[in-house]
Amino acid sequence: MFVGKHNHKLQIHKKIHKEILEIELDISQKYIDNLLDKLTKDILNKKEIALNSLDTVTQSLCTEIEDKLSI
Amino acid sequence: MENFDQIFTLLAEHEGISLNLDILETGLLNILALLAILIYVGRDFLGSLLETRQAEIITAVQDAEERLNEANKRLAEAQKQLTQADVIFAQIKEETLNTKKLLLKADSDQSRKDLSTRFSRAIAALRSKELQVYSEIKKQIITLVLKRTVIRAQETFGPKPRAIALINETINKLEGELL
Repeated sequence: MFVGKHNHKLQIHKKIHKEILEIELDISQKYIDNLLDKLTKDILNKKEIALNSLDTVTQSLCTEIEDKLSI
Repeated sequence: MENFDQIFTLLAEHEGISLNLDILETGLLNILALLAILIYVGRDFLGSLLETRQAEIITAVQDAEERLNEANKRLAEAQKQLTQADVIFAQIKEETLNTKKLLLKADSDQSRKDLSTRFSRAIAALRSKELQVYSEIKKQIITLVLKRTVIRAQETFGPKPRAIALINETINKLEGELL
């Protein structure tokens, strides 16, 4: 009876601990998702900036090619 | 009731209660003789009665002592069992605590692994996205440069067939270098 009571309490503690861990994992997952979303948006913004500034960036490359083509 | 009334009447006639010192009149000798006879006759009977009573009392005391000893033994046994129960209780408590620690540690380790996996997935997704964007930008740069070069070449060389062939050959070479 004594051992059974202890086992019961142990199961309850285990359940509570597991629930706490699950909550912590959910919070961490949300944090990760938010961070990933933020970083992805940042990458896409940089991509837009890079694509918009390609005209000036590729100018030197075009000049180099034209020199090689002697035109 | 009449006798009761007569007592008060006699008391009133003799003017109060007084001590009668006349031995013969009070019958003291008779009483003493009666007592002596009683003691003489009843000595054996009283002796045996008292001996029986003494034996009973001794037996009762011995029984009480035996019961006391038995009770002391049972008390000692109970205390011993209590001590053993305390030891077992302490052992069970310690074992339970250890089991609890192990179970909670296992859960914590599992959660740590889950978290690590989730971070790894997030990092992999981010790197994949970076590579995709990098590839798109690279592709866009190549396309833009080639278009510009083609336009510039067409403007320079015109529609001459040899020039077109030369341009295509050069562009193919450049494309291979760029990619």
